[in-house]
Amino acid sequence: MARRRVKNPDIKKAAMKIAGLKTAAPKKAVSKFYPTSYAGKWIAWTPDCRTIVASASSVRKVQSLAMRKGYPRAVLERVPRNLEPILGDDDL
Amino acid sequence: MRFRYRRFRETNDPPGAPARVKLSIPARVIGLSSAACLFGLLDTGSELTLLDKSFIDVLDVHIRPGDYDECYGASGKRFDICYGVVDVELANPRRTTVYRWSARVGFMQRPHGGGAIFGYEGFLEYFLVSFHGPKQHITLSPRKDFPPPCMPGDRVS
Repeated sequence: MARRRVKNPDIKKAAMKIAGLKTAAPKKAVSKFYPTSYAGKWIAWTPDCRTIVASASSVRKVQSLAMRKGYPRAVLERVPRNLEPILGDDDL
Repeated sequence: MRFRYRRFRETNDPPGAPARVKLSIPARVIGLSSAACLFGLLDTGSELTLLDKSFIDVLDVHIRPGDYDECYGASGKRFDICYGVVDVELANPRRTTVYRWSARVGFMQRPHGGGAIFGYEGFLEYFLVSFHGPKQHITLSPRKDFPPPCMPGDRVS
């Protein structure tokens, strides 16, 4: 018996409800967490900016760590010491 | 070119607390010997594009002697910066569209952390930028008059 792929999400959801299956929870937009251990450090994100792959006290160190882990295009960021709201460049 | 607002929570935030929002986007900065991708805050109130001073060594940026300046923050606090020329590359998340241009940017010490600041000179002057608050995304439309890139290549250190 050939299986047909259901493209309409509503039909798929209804079919899963009838079958007693739960649909996968929608992906949350909030996925960024800065553990307090990163405060004041440089961190390297994967190119899709979803996962932290390395952290270090300097840019050069974090860049080389990320490269060693296979991410030459990791996106670098310095985590503030505290995550208070930024007011223009007044935090300088 | 569209970027979503960055939303995050601090680990100490209570569960259910509203997410914090950061209007920062990733861009690639290319120097004489290497390049780095970094997050920068889109700051429409900043006249300059500013990078952390540590990037002078990392990217091998040539600082002309005497090309220093003093600037003032919103509170009137004075700080010293030096200028250098780099290439800036902005790409959409899938890298189907890439813009690259040369820019004169300032370098300064940021003791409290934080990333780069993408201000008017060197960055925002080349784009029409709109911030969509309800949908939480930023749209950058280029004005197509980028100064040509001047760095030798796109090597990674």
